[in-house]
Amino acid sequence: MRVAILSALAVLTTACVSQRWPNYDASLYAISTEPGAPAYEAHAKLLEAWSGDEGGLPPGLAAEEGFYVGLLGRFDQAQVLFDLEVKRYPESAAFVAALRELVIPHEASAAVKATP
Amino acid sequence: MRQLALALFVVILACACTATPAVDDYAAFYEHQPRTILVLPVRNETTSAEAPGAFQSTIASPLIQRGYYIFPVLPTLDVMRAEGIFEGEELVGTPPARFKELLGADAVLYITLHTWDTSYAVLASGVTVAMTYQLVDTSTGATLWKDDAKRTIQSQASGSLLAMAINAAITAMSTQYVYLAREANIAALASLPAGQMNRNFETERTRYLDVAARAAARKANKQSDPDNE
Repeated sequence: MRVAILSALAVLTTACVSQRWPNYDASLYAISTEPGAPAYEAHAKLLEAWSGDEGGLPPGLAAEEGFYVGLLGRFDQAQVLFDLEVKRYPESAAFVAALRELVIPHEASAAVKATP
Repeated sequence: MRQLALALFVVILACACTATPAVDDYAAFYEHQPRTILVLPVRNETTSAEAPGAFQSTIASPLIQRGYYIFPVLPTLDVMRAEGIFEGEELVGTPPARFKELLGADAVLYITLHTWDTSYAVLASGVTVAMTYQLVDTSTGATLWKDDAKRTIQSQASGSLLAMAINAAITAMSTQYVYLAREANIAALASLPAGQMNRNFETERTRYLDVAARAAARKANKQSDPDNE
């Protein structure tokens, strides 16, 4: 009986934790089928849950959030997220530099590059 | 009789052993040990318009969880477009080394979707997929891992899903596509060794090196004593 309760609990816990990634996939699919501000906003909101926890931040997700908030015009927030990605995952430096070029208006990007 | 049974048992054991991946399969992988992977847009050879998007959206999460640095799939497309690399033939013709230069990718993952046959039009309760996944080292062009199994994936059709389908058939269908594509991706990636950020990386690598060393020793023995097979 106790085993049954324990295994039921284990299944429930797994279900809750694993729901995060399926939500991520679905949100990404929504962007690929209907790109635009509502889909970007929803995806950025989902990613916030990860970027708020630097220690548990999976690779690429802060850069991804930065990209979408940048597209939404929130450049300062985008820069903070790009910095976080490079700090946590230095291997992302070249990629994040390319993302900054894409979403940050030219002056802002030049200012960031000037400060090492 | 007992000897025959024993011999049969040994044969069965031998078969069970060969079912595990051949020693050589991961030699290139562990030689290069990719840390960062760029997933290229899915090459679609089917008539399904939804399938490529569904695969594209569900490939990153299992790879990240497997311990790799994955460049976010959709933003990466924009970066490549800005560099004049577009989907289709242009992408196939781009040398892998270009992706190392552009993004710092250690390896690129090419995905080709050959068939995508859903068994039911409305509820899409199952799908048969044939795909090729090929992981290529950007420095040498060597293939590090490959999977081209044909698979049948069943959906988690349930009462609530049926109700959902009646209320909004289109939403349910796209949910199903995403679910089926995710399951197909997860099934294919099962044979990909753990990445460096995965806590199993060292265990898997040590196990592989052990098996490879023993196989090499066996081969050396056979060569030095060819009559004793």
